Formats: sequence, structure tokens, C-alpha cells
Amino acid sequence: MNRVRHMSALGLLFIVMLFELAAFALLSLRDGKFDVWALAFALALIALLFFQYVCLLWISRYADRFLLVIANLLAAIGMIVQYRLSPETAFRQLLLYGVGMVAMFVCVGLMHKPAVFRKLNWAMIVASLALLGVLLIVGKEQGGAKNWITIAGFSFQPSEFVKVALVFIAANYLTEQSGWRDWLPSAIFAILVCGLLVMERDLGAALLVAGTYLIIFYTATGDVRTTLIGLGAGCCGAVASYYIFDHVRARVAIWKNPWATYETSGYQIAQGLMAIASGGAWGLGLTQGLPKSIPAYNTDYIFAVICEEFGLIFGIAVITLYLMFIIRGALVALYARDRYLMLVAFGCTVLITLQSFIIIGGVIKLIPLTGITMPFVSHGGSSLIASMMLLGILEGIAMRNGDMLEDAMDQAMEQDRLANLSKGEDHAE
Amino acid sequence: MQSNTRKYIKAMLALFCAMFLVLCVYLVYIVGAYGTRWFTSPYNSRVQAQKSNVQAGRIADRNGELLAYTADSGERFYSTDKARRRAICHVVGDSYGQTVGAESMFAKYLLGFDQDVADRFVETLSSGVRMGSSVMLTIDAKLCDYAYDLMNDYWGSVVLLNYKTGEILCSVSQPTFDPNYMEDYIEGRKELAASAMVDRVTMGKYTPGSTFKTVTLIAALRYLPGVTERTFDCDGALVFDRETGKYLPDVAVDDSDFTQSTTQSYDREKEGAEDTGAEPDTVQKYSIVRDYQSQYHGEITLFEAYAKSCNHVFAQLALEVGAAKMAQTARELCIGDEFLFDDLLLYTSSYAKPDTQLNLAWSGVGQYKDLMTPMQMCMLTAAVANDGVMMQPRLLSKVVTKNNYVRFTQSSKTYKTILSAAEAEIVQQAMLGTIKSGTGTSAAVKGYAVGGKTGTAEISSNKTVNTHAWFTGFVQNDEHPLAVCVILEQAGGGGSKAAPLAGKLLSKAISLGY
Repeated sequence: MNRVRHMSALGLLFIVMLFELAAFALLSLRDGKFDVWALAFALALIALLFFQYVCLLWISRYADRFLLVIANLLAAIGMIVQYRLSPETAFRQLLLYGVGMVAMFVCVGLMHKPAVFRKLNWAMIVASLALLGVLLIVGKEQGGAKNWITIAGFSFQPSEFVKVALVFIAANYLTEQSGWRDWLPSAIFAILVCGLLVMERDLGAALLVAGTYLIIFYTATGDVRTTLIGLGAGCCGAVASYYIFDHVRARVAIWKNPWATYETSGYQIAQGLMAIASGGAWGLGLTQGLPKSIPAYNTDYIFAVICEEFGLIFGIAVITLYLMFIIRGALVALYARDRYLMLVAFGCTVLITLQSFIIIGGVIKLIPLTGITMPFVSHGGSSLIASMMLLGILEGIAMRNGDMLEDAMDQAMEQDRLANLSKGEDHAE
Repeated sequence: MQSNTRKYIKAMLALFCAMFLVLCVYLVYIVGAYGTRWFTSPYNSRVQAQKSNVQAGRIADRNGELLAYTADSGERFYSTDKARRRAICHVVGDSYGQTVGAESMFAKYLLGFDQDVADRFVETLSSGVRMGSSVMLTIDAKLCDYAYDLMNDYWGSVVLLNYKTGEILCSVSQPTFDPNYMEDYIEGRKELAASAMVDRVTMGKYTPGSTFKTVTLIAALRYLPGVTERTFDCDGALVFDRETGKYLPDVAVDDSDFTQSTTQSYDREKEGAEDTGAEPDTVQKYSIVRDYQSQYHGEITLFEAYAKSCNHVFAQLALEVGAAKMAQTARELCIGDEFLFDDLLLYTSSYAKPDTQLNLAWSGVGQYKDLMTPMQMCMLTAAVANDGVMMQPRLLSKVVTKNNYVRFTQSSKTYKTILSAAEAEIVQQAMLGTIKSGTGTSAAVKGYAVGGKTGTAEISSNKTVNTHAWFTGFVQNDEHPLAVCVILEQAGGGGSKAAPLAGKLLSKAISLGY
């Protein structure tokens, strides 16, 4: 059984490798010149993938290979598109991917001692609120949202890391289940974070945090009434913000009809839709489209670029990849033998779920667009590193699940042996 | 408790699966439904950009007459005949993406966006220049020339459909432009009428006037049982309270008291009080609905009222049916549908639910805020002729690659069945009556049973502005399934101006074998 799983994961790895090689070979022949850097890029990408695969399995044979390969495939798709759009940013992304990989391994290590996070609970709360608070004052505005901060030459997006902290904080308070006093601090924290994010106009992140907290809350407590009250409050908040903030109203108006304001606010959505429509089922072909006409083509709108050049069917495949990641993530949560770890694992899964749903849904005009990155795929260091951290956390928990299962089985076998032994003694008498 | 959490996680996972399924289904749906429209959008810079990589294919009419081609220099030329270029300009479009015609609707084929990997590979090996496929349209250029001549410089449009297949045989809109000089128009070197680039067949929203009585007739058939057996007394005018728009059945009118009052009271309000002063004081109290040129028909049946286009009777029918049922009937007849045809961009026609009885009465005779595109009017007539089945209008016949391989042949598609066969039969009879002994006698074609409806749409309360002349009709013949719609802007009466043109066009089409 284990052997079969091993083989199929290896097969998948091989296919991913072929895909990356083919894509970069195509990119290396662009414009009639041979670009050797593209091939170097592909080799680096493949080397990093194998390195991660081997290292994780070396750490523990219980590492989830599929999570790893799927996440890497998504990151590879992202980097292929980045390279096609601009090789410089792609190399930057590759570097950040390396940093993300280190962050992943750190998270894997930390999950072997999850108590660390429980001890750091208050530190995380204070740091999160402080970061978002500082952002309100000194944050840089980009794309309408004030969600960037520069420290020592590195600019990053605190909300990407606050959402990871939220998972740990929520799981910490929701592990105990004796009454509302237990979870109240986490609810207050979630509301505060949401409020700050809305004030920074980072609506996508606010939506993500609110949705994630509600879902973790529901799965931990099973309290339908409180969840519905929370959902209702969230909806009221959304409706209220519709009337209070101009930019929320504008977003909804664009969503209803982007073509009416094509020259101004509807431009991005309309361009995205034209790109998707131009791709058709099979895509225009890598390097054959005009993705640069879409604003935010390498961050929020990367899904439209993928659909334009790779086609609708590939777009659906990307959605399916996310779904596969989510199912594997949920399985890690289901196999967890410790309630805290179960909630953390599921929280990470929910983050990836909602984030990918919100941005893909926004790009294809299913829901109003809120600026948010596509996990693993979009350009952007904070987003990529945070996503890799989530992957690391899930992998760490998967390993612990296996270890704990092994312990439990050892124990059971020991008991069996003892029982048999005593039985045998009975017979002897 | 732990196991409960597992249960909830599983429930959430099911929800997530459902959410992602919705994403996929919606993505496929939205690209399937709107993809062509977005792709052909004039804002889509990909189409124009592709012209530097690919030599656009040819456009020909159904008989292979060349309508557009690209010279080896890369320049795009249209038909060599000057008059024909103007006759077909809206259907074919232009190469600068300024108009919505075959050039933009079928850019996917013309510019090779539909070529797959194998095609491109062969192209690259065989020749340096990538070439798009050629497109054959359903129109007959000779018929378009003929219709263009008949219109005689009137603005407006003419459209001729095959009602069994939905093929557009002829579609002309005036004013026109010459597609060979598009660059000059853009640069301002040549003058062009302001709305010349608008294809009035598909984008012109006109007040339908009496042609809309077909809709009222169908509503009456559906909601007023026994209406075909009734006789009506057309004794002049229906009187309404001017302030409230309420129907006053007991107030009699004396013809001398009134001049034709207000066909479009809403129009007056918009325009302000500039011409109300010209009316006699007695009119201040009442508004009336009466017939074109104040005719009286006396005792007549429903069919006679339709044939003679009696406003009195049809306004009364609209009042009896009621605003809600009228609006529902209009919806059921696809008025207000957002059409997402692959072949043409058809604007939405509309029937606004009237707020007062006066407006309801006017809406029943195609005034008030009723708006119809000529294409949709033609589709409605075509559906009546086709026993209630509305076919999807189509302009694309087939796509041929440069190696003469037929890539794609379009077949006819049903849009919707809007009438039962029995209803269609009755409406056909009514329309045949119009040509036999009603307002549309001049549309008759010798030896063929032609049905139709005239319309004379008042577009302003100002008497110096002439009316739009409408005619829509069909040939009741399985060999020649033709439906036509003609509108001539400010030309006068539908029976005197539009109907003869339609009759000539129909006989020409029949003589050509359609």
C-alpha cells in the first residue's frame, strides 16, 4: 500500500518535472534567440523540488508527498508565467521561493514542538495587532489598499503573516471547550484584525480572516447558532461597509457591470474577462497572448493570464489542483490525534481554500473582486513565504500524525503481546 | 467531542468541494455564454495585435461573391463595387474594429485564433505567412444591393430572414460608410454621418408603432377567452383623465372638441411645455387614444381591426389584458431577452410595464416606451410564420481554411418556441388579412400568400416630425420561407412607404430562389 503511494507520488513528480522542462524550453526559444537562463531556471526549479522531496522524506516517512508536489506544481506554474512576463521578476520570485522553502522547513521543525506556539500566544496577538496598527499610520498604499510596510529595505505585507498567526491563536483558544469564556478572546482578536484590515482598505484580507475564523469556530465548537450570529454580523458589516465606503460601492458596481465603466474602474475586470475569453479552451499558447494589458497581471490577475495562454481547461486544472491540496490538507487534519493540531491543520487548509476561492471567483466575476493574492502562484514574497509556511505546518502535522499513530500501534501491539503472554501462562497452568 | 469536530471538518470539506465545483461550472458557463462577446469586444487589443502576425482570411457571401480580402501588402480591401461596399458595410464591418460586423464577430476564424497546434505547425513549415481561414456568410450580396437601392436614401434598415433556418439573407442599414476609407473617417479626412457606423438592424431601438399590435393580439388570445368571436365598436377615441391617466369609459368625445392630442404624453413631459400651448384648452382635461388620421371603423371583428390597424380596439384590448399580463406576454415573446448569439450582437428590445391606463393603452399599440430592434421584429414575424418556433438568426454559413478544407459548417438552431401551433395559425391568418384587405395591400406578391403588419410610429408630439414607416411580413410557402422587416425613418406611413419596398424585396428573393 505504502509502496503504491510512493510510486504514484514519484510519477507525479516526474510529470511535474516534464511540464516545467517543456514550458521553459519553449520560453528559452522565444523571439528567435536561445535563452540559456530559462533552462537554468528550470533546472534550479527542479533541483529545489527534488531537494524538498528528499529532505522531507528523510525527516519522516510520514511526510505528505502529495501536498508537497501539488504546492510545488502551483508555484512552478506561477514562475513559468512570471518568467514569460518578465525574467527579472521571475528570478526574484525564485529567490523568494528559496526563502519560502527555508520557512517551510522551519515550520516543519517547529511543529515537532507545537507547544512553542501555545506559549507564544500572547506575543503573536500583540505582534499582529501592533503590525496592523503601525500599518494604519505608516503603511504604503498600493492598488487602493494600504497594506505594505518597509522595514530595513524589505517591503512586506503584514496581513499575509497575521492570517497565519490567526490560525494558531484561534486553535489555541478553541482547543478547550468548556464554554464561551474559552473562545471569547480569539473572537475579539478576529474582530479587531478584521476592523483594522477594513480600515486599511484591505477588503480581501478582511474577508479571508473573517471567513477563516468563522469556519474554524464552527468546526471546533459545532455551535451553529453562534456561527450563524457571526455570519449574520459579518454580512451586516459587509452591507454597512457598502453604504459607508465609496470604494466598496464602486467594487460592487464594477462587479455588476464592468463594461459600463470600462475607461476607469471597470478596466481591470473587463481586461481580465477579455483575456480569459481570448484563450478559449486550449489557450493562445505560452508567449502568444497579450497578458500585459491586464492591470496586476502578475499578482491578483495571474489566473486570467493562465487562462489566456494555457486555456480554460488548464484553468480548471489549476482549480482542481487547489481542491486536491485542500482535500489532502483536510485529511491531515482528520488524522490528527491531538485536538489542537487538528484545528491548526484545518485552519491552514481553510486559509488556502478561501484565499484561492476569493481571488479566482473575483477574477471570473463570480463574486465582487477583492484584491488578494493567489496562494503559491502570484508574484509577491510575503504571499509566497506565507503559503510555504502553511505547507510546512501541514507537513509537520502530517509527520506527527504518523509518529503518534506508530506509537499508538506499538502500544497496542505491546498490549496484545502482554495479553497473549498472560494467556499463554494461563494455558501453561 | 473530538469525533464531532472530525464530523464538522468533513461537512466543511464537502462545502469546499461544492464551492470549487461552482467555480469550474461558472467559469465554463460564462466563457461559453459571453466568451464570443468579450473576445470580439472592440476593447480587446489582442484582435488588432494579431493582424500583424496573421493575414486575415476572406469574407464571401453565400454564392462566393468576394466581400473582403487582404492584399499581399497586408492592406484590407472590400468589394470592388462601390454601391455594394455601402450595401454590405454593416454586415461585413471594417478592419479597424470600429463597427460590429463579420470582421469582428468572426475574427476568431479570420485571424486564425481557432488554429490548433497541428495547424500552426504545418503553417510554419509550409510558408512564412500565417493565414487565417475564410468565412462564408449567409447573406446574398445581390439582394443587399437591391434592398439598398430600394431604400432610396431613406435612413433605416431592411432585414430578410429564412424563417425555417434563421439564415440572414439580406441586411442593410442606412446611413452607410465605405469600409475602404475607414482610416480616413477615423483621421477625420472624410466626413461621416454621426450614426453611420451603427448597424440599425441589430442596434437600432425603434418605437414599433402598430407592428407591436401582433404582441397585443397574442396577449389577447392568451388572456381574453373568446376574443376571436367578439365584435368591437370603434366609435372614435378612448378618453383618459389627463392628470391621472385613468380610463374614462363614460365620457363621450365630440370630434370637433379635439385635435389629435397626445400620442406620447411621456414625451411631452420630457420635452417640457414648449408645444402644449398650441393645443386647445379643452384638451387640458382629457387625453385620448385614437386612430391614425382619426379614422373610424365602426363595428369590426378582431381580425378586421388587426388588418385595418385599429388603435381603438388594440388599446382597449391592452386595457382588458392589463399591464402585468401585457408585460408577461412581451417577456414570453423574448422581448427583453439578452441575446447571446455567436453571429451577431443584437441589442435588447424592451416593453416597460406601463404605470397608468393611458400609458397601458398606448403601449398596446406600440407607442409609450416600447422599443424594438428591426431584427427582433423580424424574428417575431418569422416565429409566427414558422408555427411558433423562433430560430436563432445566423450570419455565418461556413469556415474554410486556406487549403480549402471546410473547418466548420453552421447548422440551424432553435432559439425558443414562443407560440403554440394553434396560436401561430391564428396570428398568421390575421397577418394574411392585412395584405389581403388591410393596410398592407401594397406588400402583396403575385401568386404567393403574404402576411404582415404595417406600422406608423409617432416619434414626437411635434407634428412637423414625420412618422417612421414600418412593415414586417412573411411568405406563407414552404419553398420560400421568407420573413422581412423594413423600417424607414421619418418616411411617413408604413402601408404607403415600407410595405411596397417589402413586397418588391420578397418577389426579388423569390425570383432568386430563396
